[in-house]
Amino acid sequence: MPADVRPSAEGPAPAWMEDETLWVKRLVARDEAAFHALVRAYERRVFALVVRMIGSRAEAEDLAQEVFVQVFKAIGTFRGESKLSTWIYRIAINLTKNRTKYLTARRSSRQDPLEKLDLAPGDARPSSPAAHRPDEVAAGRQLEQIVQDAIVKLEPTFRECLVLRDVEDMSYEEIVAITGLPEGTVKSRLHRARAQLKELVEAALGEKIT
Amino acid sequence: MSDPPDIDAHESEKVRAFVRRALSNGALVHPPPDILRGVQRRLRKNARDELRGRGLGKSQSRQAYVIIAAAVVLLAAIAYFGLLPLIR
Repeated sequence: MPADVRPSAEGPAPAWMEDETLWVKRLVARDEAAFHALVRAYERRVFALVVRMIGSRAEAEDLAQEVFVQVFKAIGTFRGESKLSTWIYRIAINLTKNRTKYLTARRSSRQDPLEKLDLAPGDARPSSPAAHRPDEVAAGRQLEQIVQDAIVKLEPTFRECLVLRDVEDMSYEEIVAITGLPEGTVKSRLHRARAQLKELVEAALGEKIT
Repeated sequence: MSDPPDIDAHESEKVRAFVRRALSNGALVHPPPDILRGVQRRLRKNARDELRGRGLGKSQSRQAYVIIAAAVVLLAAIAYFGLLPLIR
């Protein structure tokens, strides 16, 4: 099982989960247990990636489900040329791009406001050991909202690089494999994404980023 | 969006650190939804739709059965009455 995915909470993982080739064979054979294990292993990271790209929990939940449906349908075409996780994230990125285009068109015609973070106290994890005071937690959420809104406003091609690198903390090698872009292009887009984000966040905060 | 002012490598790293710090609260990400249940529901629905598309859905297969049965009875009747004069 890849180190970056959530282990099963239902006891030790079966042996086939440790070997990706065996896991894929079971998936191709439509083994239900293997597919459930796959969803459980990747659902958090896929949801986190999609929600940061799209900025709405409801849309992201719907999209994350669609990602796994596509994985189920297309697993027979997976040739093992990349890691299974890379292939899954590639599907997630492509579906998110399509959904973003659709939502942008819909918003421009309907003027829908972006979803705001509206969570009951205690829903979110404290950001750091120091951030336990209610005012600090509230300030932390407000800052998250500002940064999230700025991410959604970035140009889509810049946004994917920034989310994969700065939010999901992926290596350049992984980003190149997922996006299919040359490393130089990834670095350049990331640099421009950060510059755009800095400008947007500083405008919203009314002060410089420290 | 117009091109923002360029930033140097040091500032770029500062923005990365700021983003990671700001999003570490994870209010948008937590609690994660149960994706598996939704996926299972969609796959079941897709399978049902596919069966319906092939004309093998419950109500359609019953209809097809009745039509085929009626056609067989009709063919048997035609054969019987067609061959009856030859037998006599």
